[in-house]
Amino acid sequence: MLSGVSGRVSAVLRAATAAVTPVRNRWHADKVARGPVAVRYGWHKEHIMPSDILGNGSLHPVQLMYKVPPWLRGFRGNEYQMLLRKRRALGPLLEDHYPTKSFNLQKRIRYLYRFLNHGRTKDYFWRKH
Amino acid sequence: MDSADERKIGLLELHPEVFAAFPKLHLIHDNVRWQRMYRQVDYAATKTRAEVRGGGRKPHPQKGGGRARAGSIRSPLWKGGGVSHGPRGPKTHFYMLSHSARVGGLCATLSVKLAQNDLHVVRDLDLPSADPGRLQELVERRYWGPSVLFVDDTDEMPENLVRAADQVPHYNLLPVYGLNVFTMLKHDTLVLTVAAVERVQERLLRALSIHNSMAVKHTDASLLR
Repeated sequence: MLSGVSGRVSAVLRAATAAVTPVRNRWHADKVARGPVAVRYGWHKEHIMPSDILGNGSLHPVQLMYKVPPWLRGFRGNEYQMLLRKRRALGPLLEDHYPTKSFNLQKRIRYLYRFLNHGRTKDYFWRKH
Repeated sequence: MDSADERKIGLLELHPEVFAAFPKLHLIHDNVRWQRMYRQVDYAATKTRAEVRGGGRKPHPQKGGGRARAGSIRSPLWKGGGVSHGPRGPKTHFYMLSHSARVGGLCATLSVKLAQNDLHVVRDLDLPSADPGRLQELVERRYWGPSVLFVDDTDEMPENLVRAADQVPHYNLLPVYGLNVFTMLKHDTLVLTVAAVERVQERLLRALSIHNSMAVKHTDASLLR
């Protein structure tokens, strides 16, 4: 009985693997033929800073922060504000693929909310900073 | 730029508010600092005792062991424990310099460059050949600095200049709308075409003439998604 099952399983496996034919689209020979990689030391796009003053005003420096994650562009704030922004941008992704990170993010937000709001006198919130 | 030797072509009138402004070093410094800081992100991050793995169980009984009382092996006092008051996650240093400071910084830097004889105006940027050696010879014959910034009012530069400057890492090209304080200071010499000078002057005078520059929007909310 056992041998019958394993026979069937291996048949299924064979059927599944037979359909897969590896396709190579990257070859070392092609890479060699292309020659050395060109390295340019000029100013890259992110080094120049088109200004809204000298341009026609349609570009803002924030739009050129290519190396900064999109959810951090033009933002400055404390950790709590940063985490709220992060949750808004990456929350569903973390929830689906990084459950531990998602859990720690929620936990930290909850902790910071309590730290920033609870245990303070009412006077604190009325004060002008 | 068709010959290596410098030739005077004519006189050009420059507006004193743009090219002979008082060299306010604090404005130049503010601009350089802003350009370095506004895109800077500090990615340093540490784990707190809550985020370090484990540490749920009380390591040893509270009393009777002759040891210090401890509730978690991930306490900040422990080796391998969490970090208290450490850097937390990405921290941005973004801020917008005021409009008037940015305009003033550009004027001050242009004036400094002109006063130090580091600003040159050419008719156009056409070169007879794309040979980088000839461009280097031209630059040396005219006593331009080791690093040169060529500025034109269009995006598309002459092909010969592009090919020649591409081979020399310290010769760079920039359209007018990309001109900024940091890049100007980074290069020894600034070479502008006549059209570029006129465009810079027109834009800066327009910016200087704004009655209430505080009203210029520094951060446009629609850009920040």
